[in-house]
Amino acid sequence: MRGGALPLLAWACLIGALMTANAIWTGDTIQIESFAGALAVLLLWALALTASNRDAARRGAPPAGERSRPQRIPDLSTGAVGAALGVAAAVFGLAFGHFLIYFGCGLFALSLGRLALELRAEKEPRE
Amino acid sequence: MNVTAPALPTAPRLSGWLGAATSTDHKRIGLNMILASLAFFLVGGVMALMMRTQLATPDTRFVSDETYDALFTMHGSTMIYLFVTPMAIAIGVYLVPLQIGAATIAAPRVALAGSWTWLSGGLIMQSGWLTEEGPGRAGWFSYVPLSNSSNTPGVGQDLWTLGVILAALGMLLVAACVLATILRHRAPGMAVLRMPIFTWTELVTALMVVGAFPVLIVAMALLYAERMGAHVYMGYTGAIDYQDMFWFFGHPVVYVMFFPYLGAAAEAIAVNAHKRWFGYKAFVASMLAFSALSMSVWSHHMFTTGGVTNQYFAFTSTALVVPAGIEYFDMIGTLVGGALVFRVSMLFALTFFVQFLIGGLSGIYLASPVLDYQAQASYIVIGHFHYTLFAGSIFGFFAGVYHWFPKVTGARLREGLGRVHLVLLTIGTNMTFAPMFFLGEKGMPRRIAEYPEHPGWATLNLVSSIGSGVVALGVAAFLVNVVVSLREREPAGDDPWLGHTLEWATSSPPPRHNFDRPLPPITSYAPLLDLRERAAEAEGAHARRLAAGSGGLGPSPAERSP
Repeated sequence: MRGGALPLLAWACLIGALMTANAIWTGDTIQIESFAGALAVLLLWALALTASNRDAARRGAPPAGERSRPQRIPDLSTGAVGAALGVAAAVFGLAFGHFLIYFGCGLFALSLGRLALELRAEKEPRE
Repeated sequence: MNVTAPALPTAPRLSGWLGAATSTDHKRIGLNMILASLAFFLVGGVMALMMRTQLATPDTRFVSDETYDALFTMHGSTMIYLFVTPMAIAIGVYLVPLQIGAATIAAPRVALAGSWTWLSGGLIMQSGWLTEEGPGRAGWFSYVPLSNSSNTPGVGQDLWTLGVILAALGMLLVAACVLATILRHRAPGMAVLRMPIFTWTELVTALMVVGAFPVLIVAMALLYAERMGAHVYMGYTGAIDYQDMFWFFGHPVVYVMFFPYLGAAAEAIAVNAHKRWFGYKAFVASMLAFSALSMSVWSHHMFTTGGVTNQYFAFTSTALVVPAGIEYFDMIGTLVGGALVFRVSMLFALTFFVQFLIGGLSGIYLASPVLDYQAQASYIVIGHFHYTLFAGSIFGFFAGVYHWFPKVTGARLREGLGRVHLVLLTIGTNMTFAPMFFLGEKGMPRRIAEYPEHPGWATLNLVSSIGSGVVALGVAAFLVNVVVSLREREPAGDDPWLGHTLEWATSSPPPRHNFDRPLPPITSYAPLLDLRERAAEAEGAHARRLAAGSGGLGPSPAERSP
């Protein structure tokens, strides 16, 4: 399946089988919930992959000689780094001081703006 | 499936450290994480040396009891959350796109943000050393109620908890990008069953991270709430629930810290044996089964709590020997009949398999609840997991370093210094960790800051402490090797070992978009080996034609015959 979901589905089936065995054997709620959480994440991933690439799923595997399509990718991203540091500062602020929470949230918001600009620039046609 | 990609000027170019810190190039992100992980490895190593100094002789007072608690907590946390696990993912960030013929990692901004989130978490965790009460000191697992605010007061444990949340979130984001890359960015022709061994190990690793790490983040967020006064983990049931959630992450992460290094060792062995990896499909099936099973064995860490169904977890834990056995069988099958070259990468890979076997076999004993009741909380357990994580995984890591260093830097590591490194590390790890099995058998409990005179304990502890010093010398030899090899470079060329996989089909180091020349046809999991074999076949046919007197103008008589 060219959509990429097959390994995820195969693995999710294995986890599902082990979850069922666990449920029958132990009947432990928190254990089943943990398994079910992992299974749900995997199935959502597989669903998202399949939904975003339905044509590929129908088409099957590509021939070995098929040429790739060019894809635009960014060189750098200050927005991504800023967003990560914003989240980290806010979390650090929980223990270190509340001013850092405000600083972190502000940095995060600014970085999201920066990310939006980066994404818009990426979509503009090349000169 | 888009693989080639000219960069867009989406932002002004930055150079120097700022450019390196904000680069979305997967190789730079991977290298940044690798270098940061190595720095944390040195920090965690210093903590280990301090602990071994404390335990070298009976009744030593090198550090206080509280500091010792902080040391074993932060040593374990640093090694697991900040070195072995992120290193396993970071190597994938660097290599997986190259191995599958992709120009970049999927969602590079997410990977970049994830790497910074992880690093921030690590620094926040370590910042506990600067607080009055010291850092977290409730163990790398921080069981409840030991880790609640009554039993472990102080902001250091809060910082530990928040640091773990951020580090886990960062690794989750990065691993999700590796997973998406493997699933969606493979080059044309790179079917799932044509992916290299290392990429398969990264795939199952990413699956485990995506499945298990969210549970850790939830468990730690609830622990933080508990420390802030919310009553989340109440009484015995709450303590068991915390352990269930923690180990739902805590056991899969053991294999997150193993599979990529297994993949690195397997690649090194196949290339140095000049042979395809034996039993590829069985290996892939065993990896899928191994990783799924490893998600369902976690409660063997809780056999003695009385709160879990021991039979189920003993069964699944023991079942792990089947896929593990297949991997060892494949390794031996690859060696048999191969044209073996004993480079340092090969020697590290072989040592990895031998030493991990000791950790694995001792694990089979601990998978039995009856034996675990005897061995739990003793030095036997410490010996077991250090044989899997240090004597095992780290040797696989170094096999990968010696194998791929020329690809990353364009220069070879010195073989002579590498052998010194290998010998010191092998002697050191066995001197350090083998005595721990005997200490456990003689009844020495783990997590004690000092011990009285006791028959047999002092000598074994002294040997173990001397061994840790030898390990430090081995690591120093590695660092010297890196510095010497980078200063006085021996150019490696693009494919110094006659590699099998696509990363060896590009320049060393690879260009920004990985491949400046067309990819070779991908007809198996070893496309470069395929090319060489086809070339050799063509040469052989040509030679046969010449020998038969046809002058290469037509098929030989033998080839003409049906």
